[in-house]
Amino acid sequence: MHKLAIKLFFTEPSPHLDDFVPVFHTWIQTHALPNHLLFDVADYKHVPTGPGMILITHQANIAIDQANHRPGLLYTRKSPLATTSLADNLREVLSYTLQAAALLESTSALPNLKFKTDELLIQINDRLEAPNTPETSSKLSPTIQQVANTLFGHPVTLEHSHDDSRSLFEVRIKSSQSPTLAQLSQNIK
Amino acid sequence: MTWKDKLEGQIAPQLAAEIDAFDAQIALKKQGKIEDKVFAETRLRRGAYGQRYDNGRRHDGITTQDLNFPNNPLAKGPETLWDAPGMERIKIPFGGLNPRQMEVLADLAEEYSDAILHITTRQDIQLHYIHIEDTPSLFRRLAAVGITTREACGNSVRNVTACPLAGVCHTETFDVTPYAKACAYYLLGHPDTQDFGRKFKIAFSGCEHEACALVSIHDLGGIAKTRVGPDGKTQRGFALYVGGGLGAVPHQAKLYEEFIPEEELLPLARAIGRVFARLGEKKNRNKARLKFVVHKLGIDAFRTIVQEERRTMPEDPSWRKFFAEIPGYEESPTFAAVQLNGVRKPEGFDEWNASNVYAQRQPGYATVTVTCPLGDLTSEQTRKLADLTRKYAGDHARLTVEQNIVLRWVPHSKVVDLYSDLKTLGLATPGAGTIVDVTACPGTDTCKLGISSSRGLAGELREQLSAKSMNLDAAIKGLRIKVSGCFNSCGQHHVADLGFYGNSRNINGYTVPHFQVMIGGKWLQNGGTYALAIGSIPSKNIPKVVDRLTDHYIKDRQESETFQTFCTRLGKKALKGMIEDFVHVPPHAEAPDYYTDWGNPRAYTIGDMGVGECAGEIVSLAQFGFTQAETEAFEASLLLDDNNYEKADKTAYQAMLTAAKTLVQLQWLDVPADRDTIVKEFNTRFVETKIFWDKYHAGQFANYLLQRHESPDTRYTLDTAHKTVEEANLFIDAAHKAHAKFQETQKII
Repeated sequence: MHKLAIKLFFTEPSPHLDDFVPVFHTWIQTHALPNHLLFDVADYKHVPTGPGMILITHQANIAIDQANHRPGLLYTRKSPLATTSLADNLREVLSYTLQAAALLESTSALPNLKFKTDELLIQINDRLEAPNTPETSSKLSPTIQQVANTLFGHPVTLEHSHDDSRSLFEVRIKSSQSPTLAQLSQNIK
Repeated sequence: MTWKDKLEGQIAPQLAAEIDAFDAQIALKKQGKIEDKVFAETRLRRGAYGQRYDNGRRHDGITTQDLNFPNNPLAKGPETLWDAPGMERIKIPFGGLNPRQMEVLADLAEEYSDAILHITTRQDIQLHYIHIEDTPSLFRRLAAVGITTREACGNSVRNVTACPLAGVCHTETFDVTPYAKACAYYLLGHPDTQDFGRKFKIAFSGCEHEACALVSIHDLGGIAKTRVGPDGKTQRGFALYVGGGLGAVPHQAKLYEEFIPEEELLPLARAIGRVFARLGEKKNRNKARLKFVVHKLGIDAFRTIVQEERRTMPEDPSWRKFFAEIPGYEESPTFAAVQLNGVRKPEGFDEWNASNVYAQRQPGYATVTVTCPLGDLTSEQTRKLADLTRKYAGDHARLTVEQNIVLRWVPHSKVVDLYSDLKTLGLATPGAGTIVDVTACPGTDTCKLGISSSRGLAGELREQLSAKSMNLDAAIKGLRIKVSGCFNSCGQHHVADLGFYGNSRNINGYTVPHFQVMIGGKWLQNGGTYALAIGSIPSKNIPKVVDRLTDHYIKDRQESETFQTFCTRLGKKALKGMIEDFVHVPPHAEAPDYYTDWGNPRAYTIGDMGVGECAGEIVSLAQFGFTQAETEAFEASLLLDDNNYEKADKTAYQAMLTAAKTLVQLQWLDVPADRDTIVKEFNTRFVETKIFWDKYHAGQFANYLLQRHESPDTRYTLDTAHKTVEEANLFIDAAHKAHAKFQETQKII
């Protein structure tokens, strides 16, 4: 199960989507993300509540996602990972997401960009492996809870929604504290 | 668990077998057992297309970087790397979609692409950034809801298009939908459409004077007609047009026949396909469309040849099955018709209602256009739109060639509610079919042939025009803008009032993105007149060109003069004069913005252009036949591994038959598909003549087929099945040699 997606939300107000275009092109020029082959930027700013602006890499789509009018960084894994267990895969995908987030936060061209670190979203982009059902939730929640607790360094709350069985399986993680991105990265190592 | 397991029994057997075969071909390609160009054409005929940068190189604005994909140098076609993302084109005949299909498309975009569905100018859906190894699962999931991607690309019959208002239109002669459907499925995979030198596009229109299906720009197009037959009854038929097409050398389709009776439609389409396969150019891709055949021969000679073909071609009764379904076709409303009466209208409704709602011929019903900017919508929007389709329109949605979606049979009483629901999805943008509803092909965003950013320009024009749409003069609101990234015209710029296609100019030592300005094309009358080119303008000046030309039109037009008439009256010289001051490109130091394209900060380059796959690969029928045989032999070996001995034996036997048939077709193209005939003809033409003959093994390899055909060992054990599988592989090798030998003899002759 490698097709995991993580979304980290921006604090308000977030930068305009156009501001990310030169940033992503610079990342491609400088090979800014280790372990990723970066090669394209897809512009979907004309689509309301869509994926906004996507940095396309061979391994993942990295989007400035606008879903539900809550902009954020959405890392969607495409290619398989070195490990096979859900816990290991989650940790690896989280680390890549945090890495990209930290890079964005440190970009001088995006001076006002900040991430909310008391909430994140985990999706499994694979309806065959993880249909959006209570059974999937029962099966995967313990592992997700364990990894999320480690990530935040304390017990966190998991919220599931099974309202629409057609949607991706999704878990919202809420924390009572807001660690820094660096702390989160450190915790997940 | 795989999608194949999960969907077992839910896919039509023929489709399932085709997808299994493609799955096997992927495995064979990875083992290096299929030539690049054969695999390229194979995947193209499954709609799996190349995408920009798939040659493994990309200019990042400073330098050209090599893209080191994991499986380099494994390729999925000439100059096309295995791991490079590709585009999947999904054929939707006449654009007809039901909610379940919309949901599956939404899921596929989310899981395999980038959560965006792109509607094309030919009523297809395209998904981008797809990995080739995901395609079999994608195909299976589509097939389970009745969608095939077969022949969506490549040298084949492409998606058959039709007017999205067919069946509900006020001016149509009759509903062309079932005819488009019958034509699409009759010609799909038909043996007579497998040996084209180029693609073949078909469209059906219910009326002559509206835009409808743009018959004039198609290889084959039918406009609905009726006449009184000898029995005094009204007879349905079509005015048939052939040899139209856009691209670098646009041709208006020629009238083939004023009236062909409906029952002649499918056989005649087949006859035209056969003539195209025989007489169409196969080497020079730029001259390979049907329009060149018609142009070269003249319509009268072309008609004579087709009539002769129609008279002499072998009977293929299968068309009757498709034709028989036509009378039973009926699209009926799900909800009762109720007129809109006294409902409070939300803000913005009136403007949207004026442009996006069409009162159907059937009283009390409306067709509502859902505007999709640049043809894009998200997976989530698509899923919710499926819900709205169920709620307001039953099963009746269609894609349009203007890259939108229409919901049909919406009761007038529900239009206001539908508007409110669409608004929550961000899909209630007004202006469908107006100047703000700009059409664009993918251009440099994803297309290997793109020269300039058609989507970037279209997005910019859309934004600028939308901002002032309330104040736009009514005369220009109805104009259409269409943008292509290059001269190939996928954005259909030739039939727009204001069309643009990408090119470039070298100025001040830099390459500068430009667009050729095309004006005065006619959208109505099925794409009745093609636009005139009036000059190439730097990309960044195009919005000013639009303002200038439309301002002149408002100011200088004569009473009720259309834009086309206005352009014709003024002439190219005067029109060119109007925009001449926009030709100039300032020095780089003064205006560096001119040296980049819309929405892309990289220094502009045309170095990222690749070899296009629109033209497909020229792969002979024999190459396809042998690849098919090898695929079947490979499947047989997999069945053997699964201990399915009977099926392994029969599949291996089928592989030999396919290879034998491929050889027979070198001499007799229309050899019937029955096994006895194939074996008999193979024996007579290749064994007895000793073409299928080995220097050391004499007729041994031929005997593998002959004996299996005459007296199969029906014990179906591991040993017997293994033997047949081994023999099939040897037989195919021998068939290749026989093919080479046959070709040598042809050269000598």
